[in-house]
Amino acid sequence: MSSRRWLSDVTNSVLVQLYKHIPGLAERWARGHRFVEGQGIPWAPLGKPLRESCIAMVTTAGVHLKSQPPFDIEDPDGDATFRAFPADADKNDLTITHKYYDHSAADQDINVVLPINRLRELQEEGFIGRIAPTLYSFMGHIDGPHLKTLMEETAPEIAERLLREGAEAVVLTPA
Amino acid sequence: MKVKPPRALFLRYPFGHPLGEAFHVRQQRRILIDALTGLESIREPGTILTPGYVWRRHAFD
Repeated sequence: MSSRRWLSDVTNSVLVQLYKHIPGLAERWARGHRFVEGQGIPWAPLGKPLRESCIAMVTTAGVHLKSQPPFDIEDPDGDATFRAFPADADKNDLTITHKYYDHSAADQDINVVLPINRLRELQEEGFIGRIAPTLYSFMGHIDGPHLKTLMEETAPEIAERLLREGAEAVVLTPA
Repeated sequence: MKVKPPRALFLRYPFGHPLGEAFHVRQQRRILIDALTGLESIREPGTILTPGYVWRRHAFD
């Protein structure tokens, strides 16, 4: 590893811990950062009671199957691709590739970022109708040229897949 | 990218812990139920629910 790369990794690790433990830092960073802004507030009322609805989950926590290619954490602009995996995947088959937040807790218990076991329990209890068949995951660091890919390709593709799979509401979990 | 979500649940928890602590089933369940319930209760686009759970101090019974 080059000394420059080593320094970059160490700096990133320090920043990740600072942002984790001092929430005000992240808020300060967000206030000073220029974001691409979405237009308006999307809205669709839930068409039926929760107990009859099909619920999907999408996360930006960098979760994927161990058998899938990891997200690109070397590109400073991140990675606009996504991973799709079955909602009944065994949690022992899942892993996380993301270097912009501390996922040590989620490494131990994936429900910290993707509450799939909790959602299955709510389905068994009849609190929700059913779980959509596929879970979708991004690595929540997408910047520069990848934003266009996210907005024009990957996000619309996931929305289309969710509709095709019968999802009537989506729980988004950030990280 | 900055977007205004149609509905959201906000907790002042450390980054990387949207559902709380590892293996804390009651906490994870409460947060998920709060979020899901918002699908039925929220009528105004852009509403952000803030249940105010304090990290590692709230008793999830």
